[in-house]
Amino acid sequence: MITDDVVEELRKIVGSDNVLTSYEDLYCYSRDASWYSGMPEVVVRPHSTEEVSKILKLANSLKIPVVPQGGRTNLTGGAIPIRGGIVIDMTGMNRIIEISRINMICIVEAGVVLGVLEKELAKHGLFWPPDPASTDSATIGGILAEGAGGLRGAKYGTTRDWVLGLEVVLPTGDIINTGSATLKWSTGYDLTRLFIRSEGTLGVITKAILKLRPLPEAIVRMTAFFNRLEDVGVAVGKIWEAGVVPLIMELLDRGAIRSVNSYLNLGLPDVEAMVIIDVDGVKGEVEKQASRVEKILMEAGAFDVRIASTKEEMDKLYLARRSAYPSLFRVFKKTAIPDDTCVPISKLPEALRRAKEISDKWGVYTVFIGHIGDGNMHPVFCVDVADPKEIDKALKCYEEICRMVLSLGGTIAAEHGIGIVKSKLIEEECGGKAMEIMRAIKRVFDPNNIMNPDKWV
Amino acid sequence: MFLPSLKKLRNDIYFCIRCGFCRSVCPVVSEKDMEETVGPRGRMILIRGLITGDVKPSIRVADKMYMCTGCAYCRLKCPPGLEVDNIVLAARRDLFSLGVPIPEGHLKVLSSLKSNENPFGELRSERNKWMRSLGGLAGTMPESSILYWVGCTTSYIAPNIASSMAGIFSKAGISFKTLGASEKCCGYPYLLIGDEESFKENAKEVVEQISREGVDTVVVNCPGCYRTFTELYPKYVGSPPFKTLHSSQFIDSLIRDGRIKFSKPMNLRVTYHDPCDLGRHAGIYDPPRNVISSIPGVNLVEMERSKADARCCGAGGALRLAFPEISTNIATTRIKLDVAPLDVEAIVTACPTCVRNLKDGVTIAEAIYDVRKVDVLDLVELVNNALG
Repeated sequence: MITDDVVEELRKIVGSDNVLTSYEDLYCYSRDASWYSGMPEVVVRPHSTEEVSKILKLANSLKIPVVPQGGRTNLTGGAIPIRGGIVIDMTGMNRIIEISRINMICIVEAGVVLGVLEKELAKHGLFWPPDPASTDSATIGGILAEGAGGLRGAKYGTTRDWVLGLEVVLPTGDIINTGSATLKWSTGYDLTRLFIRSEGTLGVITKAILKLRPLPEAIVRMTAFFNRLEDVGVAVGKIWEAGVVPLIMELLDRGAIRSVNSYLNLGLPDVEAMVIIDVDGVKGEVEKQASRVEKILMEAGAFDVRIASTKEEMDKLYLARRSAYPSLFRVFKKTAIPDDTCVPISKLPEALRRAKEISDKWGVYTVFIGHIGDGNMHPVFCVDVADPKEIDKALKCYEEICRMVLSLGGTIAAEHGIGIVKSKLIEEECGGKAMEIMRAIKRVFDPNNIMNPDKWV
Repeated sequence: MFLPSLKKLRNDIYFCIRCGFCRSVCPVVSEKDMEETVGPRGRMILIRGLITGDVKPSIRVADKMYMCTGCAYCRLKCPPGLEVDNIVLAARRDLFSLGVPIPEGHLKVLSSLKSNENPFGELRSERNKWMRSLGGLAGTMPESSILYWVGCTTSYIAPNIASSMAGIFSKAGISFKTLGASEKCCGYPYLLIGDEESFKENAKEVVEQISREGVDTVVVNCPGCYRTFTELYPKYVGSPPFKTLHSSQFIDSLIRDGRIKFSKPMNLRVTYHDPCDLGRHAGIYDPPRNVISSIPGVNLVEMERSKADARCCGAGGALRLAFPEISTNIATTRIKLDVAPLDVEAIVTACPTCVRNLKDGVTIAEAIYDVRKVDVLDLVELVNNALG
């Protein structure tokens, strides 16, 4: 489909060094952090919005599929080019254009790595609240296109709550600006939010205006230990009911604790479940808040609560949470496939109990981690991806948990997007009419269906 | 067996979760505008492809493997704790043994190692030219129990480091000996290029040669030689029958034992660059800092990225020998981003290869980015100057 003439045109647009065509180069772009793969026919690396515009205009005129890629940390296969075509590698567009403390915003290009931005923002005493665990490699464009969330979701929500405006290139090559660099905005349809979590199906995000917050003065970190997984759900509910807004609440069940201990020798207690909780705020106040949380947790069924007293202890707990997922690969010598569901807080105890029952029923070794403070649980299935039977069983378990969550009024995709893995399930959550509207919206933006085609929409 | 080194590491290779945490810290990726194919995750994807058969061994794959400084920062950042740099070296070995062509620069290195016993195409007889410039060495004693292993880069490229080292021995009143012109390369470049057989053969010869001298301690000032003697020889040919000390450790102990004393203040503001082979690979961070801090009037300021987080100078992993432009550009980045904001007069490091590359970086940074020129000194040179 990609002819030599097309490659030549692409070279004219971005320069020869920024067009990759060798099998080996393309192979490097065929995988993301999911277990899916798909080969692009050509990779282009633009360095300006105008170049992106020219690439899309060319692709659109020839109806060539286009998949934009950022840091490729996606866990659902969203950035995999399943129909070949052009991959646009956005990581070359990585300028931080503006950081304004007075306006509490920053303006960045889509290829900026969040970890790099965080360091720059910290110099101004600021931070961007969304905190996906892939901070060190995920790009802003990818984070927005996936609607990523993260650890701080309990207090701050997900990406959609922290973007004021976008610059987007449409498949026609038109460049539009959505939203506004103001803290309030109510002009017309909210196209900004339409592009957030559109997973590259509507256009290519090239710039973003992000809403910032001052770094908290103090954080207190604590851990609570439970004898039953579902008690964690009860405790989360009690905390919210008490009017406390924790910064993070991270779950590790016994499987995750054992995995982390085995991998990093952290010496965490071998209990059914533990939760790492951060409360943030002003010095003096935050300690009082932490004492309140401690009391609530004990009343809600925790058998022990410990407050981290040193920075080393705090770092160790954070390391435990961040290492839980990768440790599964090393310890169980299998691939870890994470589910990504979210339920109303009131339904958490039931969701946790039933998810465990379902994974036991399918006989799939499942570890429960998650940003439990906002109802987001990540059952992670440890499977041998080389064994089709194991994969089949794990995906059936995955789907049954998703359907159970839907029956509780929850969602199948909290922060990892739909990608390939949940394309079958999206209609069950959204309904036929909503899908019809989404497809119609897709046609308005992308009449030739070139943007990340054959995915969920 | 096809790809024997990689197949031994098969499990590790499959544990790469492709999270990309290695990407944003890779000096080559940063230099090449974040391009995936020249970075650690790209290399791991290709290596997995080699094992599954999706990717065939070729010069294009080999080039990606050689585009790595071996700085091991990726290893530090890898959530599943993979020794990415060592997996890349395994790929180099397998590709080399399959006869996949290597970069032109590496071909020259191998040829020079075979014929001249150094990687630079220099004459064997010129190895001890630094000694001649001193008019012979009064301090060398045949019966000494300490051997100063000079190393190729010091001997040929940075001879002032060797004469400074000899000066320190002399000022400490410690006798030492060298192998003179009969010293040969430690063989590190063989392994970095992938020629495992030549490395082993060379390693045996070096260990035998030093053993014949009957010394109990070998002092090296090159971190590459240090890694080779302390990590790689034990792995490939067994532990050598002598202790190896890096110059920073040796000088640190001389100061602690009161063998050398600094009498006159220097009045110098410096920063210290951690060589990857000494820092991340060997965990030696404190001895060079102890030494610098013990010189009166020398004010040591740390770079934003130092110790385990130090940015590579770009010369390691035999990258400079094959892709010199990328290598010096990485050095320029180190100067521009980490050194320039400190307003120091000198960068001190403890590696002749880093000295060479950082000097190039300083020159380029001054010319292109108008960054103030600073001196680049090896720790050994600083100490010898300070001793007067």
